[in-house]
Amino acid sequence: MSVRNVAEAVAIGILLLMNACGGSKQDMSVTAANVQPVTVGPGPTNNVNALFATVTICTLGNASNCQAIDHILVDTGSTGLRILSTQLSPSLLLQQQMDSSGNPIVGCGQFANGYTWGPVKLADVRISGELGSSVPIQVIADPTFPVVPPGCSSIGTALNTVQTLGANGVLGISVFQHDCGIACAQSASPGIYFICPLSGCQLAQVSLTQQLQNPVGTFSQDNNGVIIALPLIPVTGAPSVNGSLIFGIGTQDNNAPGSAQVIPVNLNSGSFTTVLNAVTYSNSFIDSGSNALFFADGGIPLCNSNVGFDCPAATQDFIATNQGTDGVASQVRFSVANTDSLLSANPTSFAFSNLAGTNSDATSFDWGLPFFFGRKVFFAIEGQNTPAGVGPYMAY
Amino acid sequence: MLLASIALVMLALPICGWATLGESSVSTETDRASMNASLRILPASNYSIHEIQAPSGLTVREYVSLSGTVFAIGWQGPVMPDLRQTLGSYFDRYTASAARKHAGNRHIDVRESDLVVQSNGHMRSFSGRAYLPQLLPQGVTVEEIR
Repeated sequence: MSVRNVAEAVAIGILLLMNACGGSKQDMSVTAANVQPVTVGPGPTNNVNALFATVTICTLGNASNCQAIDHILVDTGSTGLRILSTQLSPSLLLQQQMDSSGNPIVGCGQFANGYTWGPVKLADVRISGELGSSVPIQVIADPTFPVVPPGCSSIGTALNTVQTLGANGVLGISVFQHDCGIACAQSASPGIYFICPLSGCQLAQVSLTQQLQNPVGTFSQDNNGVIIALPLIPVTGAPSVNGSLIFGIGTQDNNAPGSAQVIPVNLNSGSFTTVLNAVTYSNSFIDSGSNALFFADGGIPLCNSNVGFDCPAATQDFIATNQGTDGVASQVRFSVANTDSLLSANPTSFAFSNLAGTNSDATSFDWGLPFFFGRKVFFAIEGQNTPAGVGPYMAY
Repeated sequence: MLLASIALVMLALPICGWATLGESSVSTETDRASMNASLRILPASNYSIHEIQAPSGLTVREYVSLSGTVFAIGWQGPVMPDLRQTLGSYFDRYTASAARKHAGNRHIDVRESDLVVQSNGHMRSFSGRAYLPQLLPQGVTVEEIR
């Protein structure tokens, strides 16, 4: 396999010489406590450009009652850890989050392609060597709350199985600390939180601390943001890619922002501005959970087979400009290949750096997973200090 | 750009509301009231836009032909719209098609001969549109629907 590990980018990690173990043939370089290996590969549903990590869930305060769950989608476009109930062992006995009147709080995770319905529960979350204690997470499709209220199911498709979610869960590590934020603390109107007494579910306000949290912000250290580091891959794609999810920005030797270009983002939406061919996309974002670069460009022919994706006659190269809310602009190069021919010519590849598709929002450039290959991309959480400034920002 | 050239006729019109794709724009006052939303109507050359602003910050625009049929819906805001209401009888087709063709994908682009639904964005910033290609008034481009 021609896939290269990204280790050199992150292996400032410690070299442990475990001579005492004698006879081990394994590579003895061990990643640092703040580095979680991540992979791009077929995953449970054979999707292309899906980034996965393994996350360990523990009963509150009980480090010996834990379960490691693989193929959790790493998603910088959402906030909070959400896991399918079918993937969780009942023996974890996760504690239900209650409101001040003792009613169970149930969430409606909103995604462009549908919703995740399920209770908010408290767990200790371990990723690499980091620990978040008593973290509100969502258990998707928990049979305790089988009836989805219309206010949630009306969003679209139920993302309630491995097949529909494309993963066993979602690790939402955006630049925000809460999935909804102040809007849901002040009003029930966003439709993201419900209380569900036995009489039935109703919309509810939920305080910030009881909402789903970005797990990274709950860590006792390395908690001001993350870095996603993926290696460059061939233009023909790769069957699988190994990379790193590094916690903290400027908190350890291995996560310094250095000379990374910082893009401060809108405090409410997490957006910045992309300019391409004199077209301004004022509502742009970097999303590891999108499997392509999605932007409206009437000049690029669309595919016949892969509906909504781009199929230019030959690969096209572009230079875009990204501009943060501080007005500083910088250039980004990217390529758009013919999705139909690329996928058919490389049937064993699941990672591609040159996939793009159309976007019905002419003001939005969605920098999906192709953007991440060959880069270290930083996501600083809102309100958090880092050596490169206060979050929220993205950087690379 | 489009709306900038359109005169604002009425603000917070106390009638009408959430209409449904493919049906007449006859009001559903209860829906508007339950959303506690405000409505304004913006006339364009050969259709009008019923723009609904919900307290959540969500904006839904319904594109109504001169004969009174809703031929398109556009949305933008920090939360997703009630697509069951706005897509009406097309909602079940949309969800079935989205689940079948786009399982695991964040970006929805359902294109059938008589129904297009496109949904984009991320938590705290969503946008999308739905339209009935066969009912688009002559001269109306898809780009106008937003």
